[in-house]
Amino acid sequence: MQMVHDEVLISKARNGDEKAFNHLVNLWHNRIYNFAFKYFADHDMAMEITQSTFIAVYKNLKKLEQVDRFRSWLYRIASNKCHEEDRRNKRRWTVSLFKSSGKDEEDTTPWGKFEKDNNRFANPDQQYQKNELAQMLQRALKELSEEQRIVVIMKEYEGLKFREIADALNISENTAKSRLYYGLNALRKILQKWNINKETIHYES
Amino acid sequence: MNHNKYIPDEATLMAYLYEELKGAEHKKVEAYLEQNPEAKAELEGLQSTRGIMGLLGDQKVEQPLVLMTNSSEQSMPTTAAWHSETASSAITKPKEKLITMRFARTMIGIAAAIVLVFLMGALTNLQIKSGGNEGFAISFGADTPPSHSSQANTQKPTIIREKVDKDEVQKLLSAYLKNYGDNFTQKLGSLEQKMRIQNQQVLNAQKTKKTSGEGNGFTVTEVQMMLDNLKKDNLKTMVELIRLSNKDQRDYVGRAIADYARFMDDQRDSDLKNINRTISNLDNRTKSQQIQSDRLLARVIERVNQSQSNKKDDKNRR
Repeated sequence: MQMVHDEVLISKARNGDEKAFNHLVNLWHNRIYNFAFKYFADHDMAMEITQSTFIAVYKNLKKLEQVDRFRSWLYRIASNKCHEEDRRNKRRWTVSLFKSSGKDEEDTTPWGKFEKDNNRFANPDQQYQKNELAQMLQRALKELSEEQRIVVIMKEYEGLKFREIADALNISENTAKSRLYYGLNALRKILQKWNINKETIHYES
Repeated sequence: MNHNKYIPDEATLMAYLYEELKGAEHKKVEAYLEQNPEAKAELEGLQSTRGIMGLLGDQKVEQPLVLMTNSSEQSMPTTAAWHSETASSAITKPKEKLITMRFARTMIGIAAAIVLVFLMGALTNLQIKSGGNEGFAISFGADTPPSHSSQANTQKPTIIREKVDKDEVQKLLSAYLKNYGDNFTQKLGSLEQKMRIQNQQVLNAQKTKKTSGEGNGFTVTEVQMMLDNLKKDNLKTMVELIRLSNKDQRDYVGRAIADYARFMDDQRDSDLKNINRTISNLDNRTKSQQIQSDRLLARVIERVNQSQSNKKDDKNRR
């Protein structure tokens, strides 16, 4: 249902209907923002990515050949913007905020801010609050490599099909699936290390 | 027994995990997992990881961006002229600009509200009157009353009178307030005039903009500057008026109170003088009466003495 509605809208927008285009932006704005936010864990970056994505969409919508491929096309633009930003950051030699002062990977812990709770993970009866948990999960994502992270986000949070992910990232479906496999495994290890599991998560009743 | 032991690769396992496998493939993997508890456990571990990661929700994001290009329509009539000007102006290139809807709405709303307020005030001939017997009054459409600046000064209270008159005092106070009110009205009238002139200027500017051809009229920035200047002038005049009216009010009330106090003092003085006079009159009268009675008494004593001495003489002769 959504797809059909989108296709009509996309066709109109492609033909220069500005109202349709603005409506299209309204529909997808939230998704692209959250996609970029999970990738960078930063609001300003996410806003920048979102803006530049939709500007690019506006400029290039006429080049979209198959309207039913809009979603993968949109995420391709967004992930390209993310990669560009990564390259720009690497050139600037910025250090990830979530990796502590150059120690080896084993010692990195996600609770830089929560100093008062330094002994938390020693206590098996600990309970994580919802906000804390969200932050830690976000940090877990950031621990992944960029390749794995982007596939995990696309699959787990954006619900793209493997074919769409492959289209967006210009890789084969198999590559997408195996990156996801390794990404999920890495996340599993991280969650284990940080002692995040069903018992330690405070489920809201 | 099947020698080709089927071992699904990671990709297939993922497809299975995310339910993207077709019927036959799906069953194959299912069977494999049943026979390989290790693999099944691993996959279940990944499933549980998915469950936990899924607890990371979405961020709430502010209002979506609105793409504004040169040809997009505006809903506010006051800004319509400016934006059609933008389309034809040579200054702006066809550049897309993403601005937040909320910000644009707020600024346009504020500008329109200010212009509307001034227009309404001038066009409807708003009058604000205070003082006199009517109290505070706001009216539309009435003509400005003739200024009373030429009116004679308020009456000075007469000093030294026979008695204090409550009505006189009231008349005094109301006279002061009326004078103050008239000044206020006068100033407001001049302000209205100024505003009317300025609004006329704005309207003329808009007319010339419309009648002149492309490239001859005012650019967006010029009109904005004009409006800014108008706004500044109007604000200055209003602030000045309020300050003056406050000061005037204080002055008038102060003077009224001072005059009244002086009047009361004068009354007291005259009363005291009256009392003094009366007492001294009484004093005088008493004194003179005393003198009279003293004289009478003296004569009486004299007569008595005389008669006594006459009686003695008579007695001695016999």
